[in-house]
Amino acid sequence: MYYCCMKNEEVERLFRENYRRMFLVAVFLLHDEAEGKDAVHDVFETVIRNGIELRGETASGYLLSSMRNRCLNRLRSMRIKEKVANEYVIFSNLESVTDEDASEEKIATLNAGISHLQPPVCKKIIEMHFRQGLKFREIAAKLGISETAVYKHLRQAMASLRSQLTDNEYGKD
Amino acid sequence: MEKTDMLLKMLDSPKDYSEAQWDEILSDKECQELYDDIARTCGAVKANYKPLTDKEIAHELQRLFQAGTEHLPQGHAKAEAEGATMAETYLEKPNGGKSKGNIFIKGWQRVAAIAAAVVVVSGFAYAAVSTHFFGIASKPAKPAKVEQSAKPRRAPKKIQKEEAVKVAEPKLFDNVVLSDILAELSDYYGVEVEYKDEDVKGLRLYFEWNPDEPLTGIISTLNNFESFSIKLEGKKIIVSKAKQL
Repeated sequence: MYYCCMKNEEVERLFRENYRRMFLVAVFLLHDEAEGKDAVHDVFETVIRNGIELRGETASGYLLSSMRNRCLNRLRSMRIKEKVANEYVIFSNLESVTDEDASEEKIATLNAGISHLQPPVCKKIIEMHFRQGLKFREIAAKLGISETAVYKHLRQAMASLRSQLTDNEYGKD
Repeated sequence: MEKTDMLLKMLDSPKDYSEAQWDEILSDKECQELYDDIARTCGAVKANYKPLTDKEIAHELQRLFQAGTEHLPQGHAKAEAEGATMAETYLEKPNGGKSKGNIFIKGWQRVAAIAAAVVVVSGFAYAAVSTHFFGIASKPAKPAKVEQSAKPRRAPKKIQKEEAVKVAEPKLFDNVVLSDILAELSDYYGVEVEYKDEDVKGLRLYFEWNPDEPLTGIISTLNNFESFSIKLEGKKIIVSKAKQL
């Protein structure tokens, strides 16, 4: 059903239509833009090289699933220290990751949750650590609080985000 | 100090701790959950950091098409402005021919694709690794890979005898069971394979084999998989289950 050949224009159309979503999920899993771009690139290259024809409604799903698999496979191939050094372990058990776990919806829910975190210092810590790449001890020094206080706020933020994801999963507001 | 505080402290300088220490801390359920939360949040923040522009997407599309062409045809921007698609500009030349090595060449690859169609992803773990990371092609975004991909390669002896065209190509095992991959490798390198655990035979892998690479290098690459462990003892490859994280 998938295996035949697509016209070049069709490949280009699928690329333009799906690139943003695929890249978003790839960066979510790999935590790196350049690797995310390579992952999407590789999926399309495989489609082209193997002459895989993607049709209609199934095309986007196929591309996104292939991309997730590639990212998870990349994570599986890493040693634990490499994963930890890069905060790559998205789930302790990669075998249990579903399409829903790495979906646009989940990424959007998390980001909405981050923007509403209370108290505001929780959001600040997340921005300083994940966006600016500061270590927890550096954050503590900048904010004039103890490292233990940073840990406490971070744990609180993580619990809040986890709770929002669970609520969202069960359809609550 | 609470275990979760210890985990956060370790995250500040991960390289100062041994693999065993990481194993131990992540074996604690609460720490595992916190770590997953952190990694998930990190991913969401990074994914949301800078929305892609149309120009960046066009650049990536160009990179995809370039991967299969020897040189980039000139004037795409102008052609695109005139309504031509990227595919028309790069791939469908006025003479109707395609560049050597074009990724859209379909002949024998179509046969390979049909063969691949019978491979069904089942309940087996589907794992992937490549001697070139994800790579089938050179990646402008990663100069190191370009250098590696550009290296001339020697094909397996069998292939050299049968089909000269494929001589310089590495072999891609896409969703192929471990036992089939090792059967081919053992034939090529002249070694035996022994399985300590039969279960691992059915693991499906995505693995790019570069026949230029010595067997020790291949074994080392395959050991990056965490689902199984593989070692070379004399003239024998020994495969067993790996400890789960």
